[in-house]
Amino acid sequence: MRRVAITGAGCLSALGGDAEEFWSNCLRGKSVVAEIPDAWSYYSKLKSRLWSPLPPIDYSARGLSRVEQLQLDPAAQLTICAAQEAIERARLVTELKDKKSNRFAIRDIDPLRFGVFMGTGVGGLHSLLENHCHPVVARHKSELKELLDAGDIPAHARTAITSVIDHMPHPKRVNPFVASMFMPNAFAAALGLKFSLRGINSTSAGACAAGTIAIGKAFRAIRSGRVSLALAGGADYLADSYGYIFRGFDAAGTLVRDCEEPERANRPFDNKRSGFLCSQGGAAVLVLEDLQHAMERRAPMVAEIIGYAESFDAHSMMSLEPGGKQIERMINAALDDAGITATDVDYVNAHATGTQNNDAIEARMLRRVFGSSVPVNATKSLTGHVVGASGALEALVCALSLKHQTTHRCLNLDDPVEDLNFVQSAQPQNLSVAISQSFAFGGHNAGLILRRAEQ
Amino acid sequence: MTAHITNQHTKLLPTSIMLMDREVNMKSRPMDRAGIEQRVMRIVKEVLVIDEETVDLDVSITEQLAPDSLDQMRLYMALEDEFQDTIPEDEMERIHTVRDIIKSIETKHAGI
Repeated sequence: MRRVAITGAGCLSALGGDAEEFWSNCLRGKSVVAEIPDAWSYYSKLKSRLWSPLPPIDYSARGLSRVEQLQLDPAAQLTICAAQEAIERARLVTELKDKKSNRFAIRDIDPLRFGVFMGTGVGGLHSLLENHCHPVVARHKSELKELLDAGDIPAHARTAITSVIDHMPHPKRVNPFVASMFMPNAFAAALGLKFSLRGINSTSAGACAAGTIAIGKAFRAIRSGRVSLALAGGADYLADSYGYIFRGFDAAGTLVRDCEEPERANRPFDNKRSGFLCSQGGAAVLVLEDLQHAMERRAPMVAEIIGYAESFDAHSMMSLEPGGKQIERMINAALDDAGITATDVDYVNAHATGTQNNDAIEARMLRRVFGSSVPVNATKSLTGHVVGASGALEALVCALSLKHQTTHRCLNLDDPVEDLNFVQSAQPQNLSVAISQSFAFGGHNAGLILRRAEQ
Repeated sequence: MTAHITNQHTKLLPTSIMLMDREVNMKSRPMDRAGIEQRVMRIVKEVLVIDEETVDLDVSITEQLAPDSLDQMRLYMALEDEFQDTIPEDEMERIHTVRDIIKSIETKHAGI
């Protein structure tokens, strides 16, 4: 079987516009917490009022044409930007293939052996919701405007109607490309098109574990020789004009509720945790490559992936199985896959969303499997929850932790739920093997084992 | 270290550049015929990747400039984005040339 290296990575998230800024902010323990847009509270009575917004992103400056921006969901655009960075960092060279469609080819690489594996939780839900507003809202809004224009309306009614009209955003027309924007496979397809890659093109709709599952599938495809390279990662965009995606998570009672100290509301593994911090979105893409192939072209080595496994709880759509037995089974299968044991693991990047039940189950399980001395951290304490992108961002954190021999702290962790070796500051560490684990709504569990690249 | 920011930063979502039904201050953009023609030409050349300095205003869009119907859709979307206004489907049916596009936009925005 072939060995699999990570030779490049790129990302966009609330923590920054590229992987370097992301990693630097991780080590600084930075988190971005903001109040949700005002309008969302007009439409819904929300329990949570906090989220983690993206920085402004200039897609034109990143090379996306006006037409691409008009016919791709924001998550697909984030995906392309992250992939462009990953390709560049892997020292692969792109060349313009078609000016009109703004598509590229990768030089000196067989496109039939270059795959794409993307994960997403909600696909192009943003595009679906925004366009759906047109048929639902436009006609009513226009009739209300006609009513106002028609004449004799009492002042208080006029004020009320005007307020309603002001709260009825909708696109002026349905985007003719909307069907290709909301389909979940659009992000993987966008990468295959953008870089002319004709290998396996696969989408994993594995909710909060989607990014991990996608990277795991890419790892297996390279290890078994079906492709030599892959763009693998995850992306999601969780905002819409009416705040309906946010509302979905809020209605389920899964989001942070502590608004007294907004900057401390997001606290995975802490006894005062109240839910997860919803992110506006993000994307992370890795270049995975047959190690031999990578060595032949003298590619940079970020880390190696040595094992992967999945399991399914068959317990609940939204909660982990209380004993964490299926997660434990998944971890043991991943360790077996890598040919190592739990004692070989010296860093755990936990799923750790900050929800009451799940963090407690995960922490107990971690202690049972790894003991209390292995360093554990929660990347979502910094990034919030980016759903389909989280697993990919966390795999990236593992890879960079192994490369730089340090990792980030758990933010806002004052009173740990379990006696584990939670990372409290970004100190130098001796890290050889790391595990990144993700659990998803539905009951999907997935874990990747990474090893430090040979020096 | 947590950067806590208020929703002043996120009132307008940095979403896709979707054409939303909201008031746009058109007065800040030049809307005379020459200005419209210049902007239409720029969009036509940008979307259809035409390298020539000028585009014949009377050449057929569907037969010569953009025979692919998807390219036609992209062109109209880009024009709508540029002028922040829709081109209704029945209007599109009356458009055959770049001159027709300019005329259509000029008629709509006359006096602005």
